[in-house]
Amino acid sequence: MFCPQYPPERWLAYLHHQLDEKEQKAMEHHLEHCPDCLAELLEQNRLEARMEAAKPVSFAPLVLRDVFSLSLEGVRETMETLVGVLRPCRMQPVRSGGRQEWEYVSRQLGIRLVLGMEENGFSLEVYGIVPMLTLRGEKELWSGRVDERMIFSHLAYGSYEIRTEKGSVNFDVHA
Amino acid sequence: MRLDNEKLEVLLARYREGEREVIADIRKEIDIFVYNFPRVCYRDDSDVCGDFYLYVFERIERLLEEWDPQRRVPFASWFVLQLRYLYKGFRLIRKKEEFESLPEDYACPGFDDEESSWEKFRERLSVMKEPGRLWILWFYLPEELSPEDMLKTQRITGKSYLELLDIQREMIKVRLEDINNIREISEKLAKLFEAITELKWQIRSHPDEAAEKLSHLMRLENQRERLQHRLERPNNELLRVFSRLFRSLRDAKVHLRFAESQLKLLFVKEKGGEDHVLSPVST
Repeated sequence: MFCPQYPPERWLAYLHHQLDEKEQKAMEHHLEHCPDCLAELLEQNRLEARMEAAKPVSFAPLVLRDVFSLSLEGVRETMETLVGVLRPCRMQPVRSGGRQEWEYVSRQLGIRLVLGMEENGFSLEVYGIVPMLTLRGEKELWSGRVDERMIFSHLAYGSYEIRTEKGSVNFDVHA
Repeated sequence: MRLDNEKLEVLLARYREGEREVIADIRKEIDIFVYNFPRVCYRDDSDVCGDFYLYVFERIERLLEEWDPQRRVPFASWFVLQLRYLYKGFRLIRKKEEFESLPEDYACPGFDDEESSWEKFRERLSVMKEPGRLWILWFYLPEELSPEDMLKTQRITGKSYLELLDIQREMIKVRLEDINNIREISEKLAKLFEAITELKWQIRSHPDEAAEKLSHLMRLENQRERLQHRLERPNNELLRVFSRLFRSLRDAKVHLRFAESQLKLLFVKEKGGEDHVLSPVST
């Protein structure tokens, strides 16, 4: 850690030539006697240089981007990701026989989605308390507050995005 | 991998003014940076990267509220500092025993796959005389410079700490770019070798089609030679940056050559000692 004489942000300003000459000299003088601050600066410099020079490795979309693609006929297994779990639901007795549902729990957004098969499309139920949720397909379909449950029905197959304050989840649904 | 400071600062200003939905755009700008941080800085694997990503994004809103644009600090630099602090907390939570072996003071990962060569290199380096040891460290292992090394360099060169930090940063970047470049060329070479071997086998087994394949083989051999030449070529950019520590490029070459000969002598003194990591100084 940097010693308490100067706040860390001041050292960052020094490192990036943002201080005037007088301030800079004071910092240089401090470094003469403070190996702790110098060690911190060296480490900061090292990490910044590494991050600038490194080539990024992208992460798998399903794992971290809160994205999934669902074939309503095809998915049979539970898919557990770091940001959510997609699993086939058991049929609920109130619904008509033969109806298939899938549930997607997004830890990142703190919501649960239930996708149900309909004729020529699907329905979407959103569970959670969300101050502001936007559902987009080809255009914006709905925007507003969700109190525990919101149902969208007769949605056509295609690409959708649900956006909340905490982030977004993108998904494709196809037959 | 750079963050777009200007764009992020605009988004953060909007976020601070109450446009909370901007957070999604901010996340998009920083997510790959966050994900890669443990891999690039501490050589962690993708599991750690994924967990760290979630750890950071659980705290991101509180973290971003601490950003103060009045402090004259580029956002990327401030963000790296925050990630450093978060990483320490993350490792403490993840596993205490892992934290004990955390490479907090380790540096220069990924310079070479032959870690043992680097270990030998470091051993010899530790017994070298100054200032030769310093020049080797600056040229080959700029990430491992300690506060004492900086103090010694400052006294020898008369340069300010800020200048030295600038040079260190540039050396690290050029070195890493050099390594990336070497890896890319090596991968291409490996593919070429494969293609050449396959082609030679085809020529041997179907001599009637040899004429056409021979010209293809020659083209591949030429490509291979060009790549090998690129691989063996010394990195002048490294030397250019290194020379900022001296009065001239010539001065830098002389000092580095002398230091390298001292180090080579240490390798030769030990039976079977080989020089794995020194690259030729450009002439």
